[in-house]
Amino acid sequence: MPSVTVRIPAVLAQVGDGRTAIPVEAGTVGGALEALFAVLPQLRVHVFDESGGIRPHVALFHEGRTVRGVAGLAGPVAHGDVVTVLQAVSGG
Amino acid sequence: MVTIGVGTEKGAFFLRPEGASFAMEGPVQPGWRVTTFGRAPGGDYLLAAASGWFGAAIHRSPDLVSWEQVVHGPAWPEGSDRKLNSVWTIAGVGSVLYAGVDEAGLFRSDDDGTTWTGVESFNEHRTRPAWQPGAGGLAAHRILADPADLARMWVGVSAVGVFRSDDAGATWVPRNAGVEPAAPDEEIPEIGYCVHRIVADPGDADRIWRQDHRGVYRTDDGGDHWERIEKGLPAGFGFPIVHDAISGALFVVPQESDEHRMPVNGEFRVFRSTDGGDSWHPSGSGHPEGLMYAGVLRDAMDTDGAGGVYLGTTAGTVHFTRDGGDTWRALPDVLPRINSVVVLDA
Repeated sequence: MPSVTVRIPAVLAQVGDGRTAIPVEAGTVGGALEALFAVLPQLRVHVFDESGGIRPHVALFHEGRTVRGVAGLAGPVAHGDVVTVLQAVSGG
Repeated sequence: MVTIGVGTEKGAFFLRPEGASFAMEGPVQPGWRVTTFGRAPGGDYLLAAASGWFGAAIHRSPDLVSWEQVVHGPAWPEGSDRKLNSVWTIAGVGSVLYAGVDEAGLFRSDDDGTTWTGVESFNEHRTRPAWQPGAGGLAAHRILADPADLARMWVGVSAVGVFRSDDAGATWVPRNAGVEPAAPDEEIPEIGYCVHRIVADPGDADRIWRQDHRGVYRTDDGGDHWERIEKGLPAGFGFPIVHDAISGALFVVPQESDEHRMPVNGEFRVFRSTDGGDSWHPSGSGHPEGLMYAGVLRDAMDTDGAGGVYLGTTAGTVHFTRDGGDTWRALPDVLPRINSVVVLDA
């Protein structure tokens, strides 16, 4: 499977293992997140909420493009891609 | 040595005595809203952190230095329409740990805080569909137990009321008679009470004091009947109420009405009762000399059982007495808004 990097913000890295860039192997965007959670299972609750979807104020990007919904998570990733988790600019 | 956890909007700080004052360490979990602290039966320190972006979780540490998140912490099941917004309180009852959360619920751990399950008898209570939030949310925020009979427990929920269990949590009954409701429910008059905090007499679990949205109350029969006790207070509204075991004194921080939520006339005063709540007086000396319009949130005051009372304000200041309220001092530091002050080692 392609080797990709998942980037997470510092506020999540400090409840992970300190790394803000975690290399994983995955075939899809959602697969990259699942690979991240296999390494750092405590991060799942911070990215997904009780609905099973991405938290409403968490922004997810794949190669700079916004990832939305189930279809976005199913999108394929290629070797060297970057999947980025960010806190959305919500509010004022 | 006394260790005090101070939970703020932007991380946790820890205080330990140093000379006549305290040394401060932190922040731990910077950027996270730290909502409360606790101790696991095995001795680990616990900290609850939340974020408007990333949800809530419990973290644990053997030494207050090295922290790791509890992976299988309190959580509503996937597909639930409830959100776990924050953990408001963590309480040990014998070998069981309980957590009270927003959106209101109760969770328990039987393995030293490693895994948690919902207390269905409470979370699916017959009155649940009518539970309404207060201004601070819909939260189970205080858990008490009878040290002489751990099967007897009390849980405070805003804006629902106090529930009591006499069978180790198998069943729960609202116990609010005598309290003025804040959000009356015409169909279910047992609920609609906005309890802010409850504290029990360590020698008599049936004697409980209550800082409520509607005033200060006391029960001598485990919550079956409550009576108003506000003689000497400038206002009945407030959030914390704590009890100093060695002196038997009670402490509250009155605020001017639920509309203003500030010290009356800008005079920040801790009030003390040395007669079980029958009467109240400003507590000792050392309160801020100037005007202060900050408040104290419900979890932001605690005692060490030996005359130490510690509180944090919404302005980020920390105030303490080590002589049962005769003399108050303030730390020189100013922290973010303080949500929680908990004595972790007495």
